[in-house]
Amino acid sequence: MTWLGNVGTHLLACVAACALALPAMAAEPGVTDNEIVIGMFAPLSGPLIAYGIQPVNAARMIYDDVNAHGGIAGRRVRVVVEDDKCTGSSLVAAIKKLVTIDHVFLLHGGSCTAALAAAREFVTREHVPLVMLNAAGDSLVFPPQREFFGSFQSTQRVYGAALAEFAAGPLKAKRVAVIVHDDDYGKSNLASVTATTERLGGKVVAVERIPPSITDVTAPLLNIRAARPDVIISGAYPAPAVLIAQKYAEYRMTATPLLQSTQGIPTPSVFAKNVGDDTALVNFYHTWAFNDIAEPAVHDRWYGMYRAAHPEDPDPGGFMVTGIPSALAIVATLRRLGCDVTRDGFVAAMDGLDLQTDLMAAPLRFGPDRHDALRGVRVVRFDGRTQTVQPGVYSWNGQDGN
Amino acid sequence: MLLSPLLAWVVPEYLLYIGNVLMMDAMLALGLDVLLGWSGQFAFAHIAFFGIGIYGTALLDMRAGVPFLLGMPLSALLAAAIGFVIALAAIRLRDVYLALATFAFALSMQWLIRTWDSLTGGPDGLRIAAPALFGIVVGTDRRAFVPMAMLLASMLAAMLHLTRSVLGRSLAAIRDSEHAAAASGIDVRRSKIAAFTISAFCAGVAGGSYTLFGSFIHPDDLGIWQLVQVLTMIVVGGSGSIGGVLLGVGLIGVLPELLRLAPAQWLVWQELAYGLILMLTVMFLPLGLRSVLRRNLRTTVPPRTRRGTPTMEHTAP
Repeated sequence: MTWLGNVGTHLLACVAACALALPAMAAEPGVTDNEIVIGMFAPLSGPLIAYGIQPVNAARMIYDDVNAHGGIAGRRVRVVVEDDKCTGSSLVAAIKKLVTIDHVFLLHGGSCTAALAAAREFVTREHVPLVMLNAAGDSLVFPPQREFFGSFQSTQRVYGAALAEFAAGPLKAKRVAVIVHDDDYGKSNLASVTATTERLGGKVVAVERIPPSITDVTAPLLNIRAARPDVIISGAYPAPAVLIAQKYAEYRMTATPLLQSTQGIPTPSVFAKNVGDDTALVNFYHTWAFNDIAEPAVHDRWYGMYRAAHPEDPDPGGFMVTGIPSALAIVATLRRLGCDVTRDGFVAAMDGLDLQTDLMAAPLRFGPDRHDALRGVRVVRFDGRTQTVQPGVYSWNGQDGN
Repeated sequence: MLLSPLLAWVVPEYLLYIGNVLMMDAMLALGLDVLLGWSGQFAFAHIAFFGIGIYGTALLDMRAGVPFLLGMPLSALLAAAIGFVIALAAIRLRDVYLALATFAFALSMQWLIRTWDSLTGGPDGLRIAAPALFGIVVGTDRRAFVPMAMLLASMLAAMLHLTRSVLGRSLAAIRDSEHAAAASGIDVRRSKIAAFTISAFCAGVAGGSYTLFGSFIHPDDLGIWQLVQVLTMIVVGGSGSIGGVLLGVGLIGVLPELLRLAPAQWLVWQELAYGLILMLTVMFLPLGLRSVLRRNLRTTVPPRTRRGTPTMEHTAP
């Protein structure tokens, strides 16, 4: 496999070098001569389970593959997995167990930014590197926190900016309406949509902030219709996104393109089924951080690898791939460290990460001033049956709405 | 409580965190039980008072420099004052109407916290600065453990005193029959208002105690699930009894951590397990697990030796 590199060639030399260096190394939690222990956590129960089980399985698939190819500098990767339920208290308990009972080397997990934020003080105090699994993590990477690395499928700033750029570019929209949730996701999304739209000479003509638990979007959609926008950008979650699409069709607004951020459409076929009316999707676009839709070979490769690793789960959903990039970044960084594996060294090496994989729409990059990995996404047109990737990658410039 | 300094010294931080959460839950549940178990009022604004305790204590410290030892009681008193005002209106309501009205208050408080960005951090949540006690910064589970134990011990002592007081017995009488209580000279209105106020104060104290070891609070942490969890603790353990509430807190609080030992594929059934526990308890043990323990105690311990704290015995609430 290309991303694994030529492991066999360097393995013997690396093991020999490690054998010489080990006596000089201070004991590092979770690192022995034979293994590196990684503590994973994700929602494995509760309503947000879809963000946890398959992404965790996908990440484990990467670690298992590394072990099958001889490990990293002679060490196997061992994973301890805990359920965080995507709630602050449960996530903090999981992390404290992983660090103080299981003595893991680093933490890899988190699908919910608000729950992750509850662990900030502990992680910072213990100096444990934390690599987010698939949380957007806006509030933890802006400004960058030394131990936190995340946003492997980009942030809300990126989704907002990408859709605003797409609206101003190919769609030539000047008047933009925005519908977002009244939470931290919505705030970040709205800020970047507004800033990017204004930078590109457009104007935000309507803003509707709705609660995630909303059950009727009649009023917000009527307000948006009254503003006569050229395009509607939505940052809604799956259930409200379905309601928005339904009302959008009911009020015959389909001449105006509807652009949806990724989080509202985790599995397009399920989304289309829930909307139940393909006329709602005649002018519908969404963001996607991965290349698996654009390139069938990439899809087949990663999904095939997953099915081989997890035969008990032969039909993984679209969110499965969200567990892969963070695991690839961890493996790449541990490989750079070689045998001298320390937490400080890991943080320093992550700060220099520049990883190009066939799976992602853009490179995964970190730096001392940047702990959000992905700043470019693709835009996909979806008509209820077919997904057509639009040309180009739409990127956030690191400034709009920040 | 006497063992707490030793435990804080030797026990891993994960277990201390679980201990701190359990002690906070115990204070929260004891407060709710004053309303639910003692006076039979189905009022569900408790989680809002808990939130007032957290945000009040944290913001007084961070914005006004009010130390924890003053800020926590002030926040609890604020919760109690709001509880008193709510009670003035709520005591006219009963059963499902009371439940709905108080639940609406809880939701509106959550909405207020979520939308008042400039004060509470809104949807971004609020980072809580570690408070100081007698010049020592707390903020960690190890340092918070002893103060938490002291707070819980104080609340337990106050509750034990309350059970023996005129008010405690008045509330028990109201719960069993409001008309009979009124006929026997108990001021029903005043007793209910007192129960509301005390309950809100306890929730405020529990909220304030969270700032000793919690470093972040988000409006989502004050939702219906948290309320359901506390209610489950009370029902499973046995409402109307301090021992029953503590038993329920211990069981329901520890269960998720015990489930960490279970295979990952079993975890998806957790919610079902909680639902079943609650359903079976209500159906077959309406007085909670405490009633089973008491029954067993009766068969093994001679009646003369069973002395101690009178509990607020009753049938199902």
